[in-house]
Amino acid sequence: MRIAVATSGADLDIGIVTRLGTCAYLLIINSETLGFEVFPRPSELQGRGAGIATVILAVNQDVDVILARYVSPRMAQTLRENGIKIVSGLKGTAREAVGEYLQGSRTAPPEPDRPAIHAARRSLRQFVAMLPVLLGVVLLTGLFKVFVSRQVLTSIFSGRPITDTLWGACFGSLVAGNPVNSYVIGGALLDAAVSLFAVTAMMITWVTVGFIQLPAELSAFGARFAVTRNAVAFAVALPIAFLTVVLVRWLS
Amino acid sequence: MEGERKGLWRTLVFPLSVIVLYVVLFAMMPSRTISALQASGQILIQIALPLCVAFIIMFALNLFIKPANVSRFLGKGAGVKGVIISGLAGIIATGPIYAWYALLKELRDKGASEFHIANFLCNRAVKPFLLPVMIAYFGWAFTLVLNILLVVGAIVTALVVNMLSTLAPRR
Repeated sequence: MRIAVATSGADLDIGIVTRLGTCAYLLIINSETLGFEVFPRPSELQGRGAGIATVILAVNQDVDVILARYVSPRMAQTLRENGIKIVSGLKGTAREAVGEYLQGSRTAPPEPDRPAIHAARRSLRQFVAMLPVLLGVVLLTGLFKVFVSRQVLTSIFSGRPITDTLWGACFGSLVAGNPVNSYVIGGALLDAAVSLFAVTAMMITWVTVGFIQLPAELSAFGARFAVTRNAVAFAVALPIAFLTVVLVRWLS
Repeated sequence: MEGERKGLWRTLVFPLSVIVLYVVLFAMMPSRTISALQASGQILIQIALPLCVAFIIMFALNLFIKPANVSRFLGKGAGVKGVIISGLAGIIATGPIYAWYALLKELRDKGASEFHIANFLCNRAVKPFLLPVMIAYFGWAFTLVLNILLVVGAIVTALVVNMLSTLAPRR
């Protein structure tokens, strides 16, 4: 059995952290040999991303049980969904916590088996998280429709497929976020007589190319990968946008 | 707790800024600002039903597919299996991309190829639960063609990135 303990240091005699999501290290102990491995959590992640990173780390290390002082309900749910048991309320050092668990004085509580309710809650959370920015985009699109004239748009998007595709791809690369926002903006641009070439290219690069996210991608994968991937994704977006419009027109 | 508060603030700063912009514009040009608000209302009505369908699809995906489980296999498959797994993981991946960077970095450090990483990142453009909204805006034909080409484009991007990485191996 692989037992994970969330700690602030890379040693079994270090105390368990107050919250699982704030741990600096995950110590994974083999219950048979009592040998342990140390896994540092990615230090650049804070807040919500940090919690997810800890869950992913535990899942990828095939952990069977996590010992912690406190685990948030959201994290606990995700861990349980991935077959990881949770024993919370533990104090003291990692060594003491593992000892208590192996002696049987601490056990994981029975798991509630209501997958539909959990799926509904998770969907609601994802949906609600998407709404504020979507509402902002809708309100901004309303302003755009009334305040930005067609003359301004035609000065940028002239109707020539190649330049329109290029400008659309450039715009999409500069912004980021949920793809649904690009659909709303794309719909408004189409209403304003901007070509489908520009709108399609914008929607593709909105997600595949991330100028705003480039620093994070650089720090995760290095300059060569991040720059190459974004450059190639931009270059590939142009023919895809072009081909999509040509095929859609041919089909209709 | 502080991280969650920061996250909430980051989420709200954009819509709040737009509301402030409305207030400023209303003070200067009330009739045009009301027209803009009405135009926004029409957009909301237009996307309301597709968003409801999107929620149902989101629920079904959450019920039957666990992204963290798929991530467990990411990078383990070779050949066609690897292409399918990394592509599928990108398609069903939800949440902030920054969290996924951590996982992908770890997988790459363990030997997952750059093909899988690039394929995952580019396939995030395909979002099954948002298809109803895309169909409502652009129609069936466009949605179908674009999403097929996005998957093909992700593979092409991943192949080129992988090819370039083998030409100049990482240090």
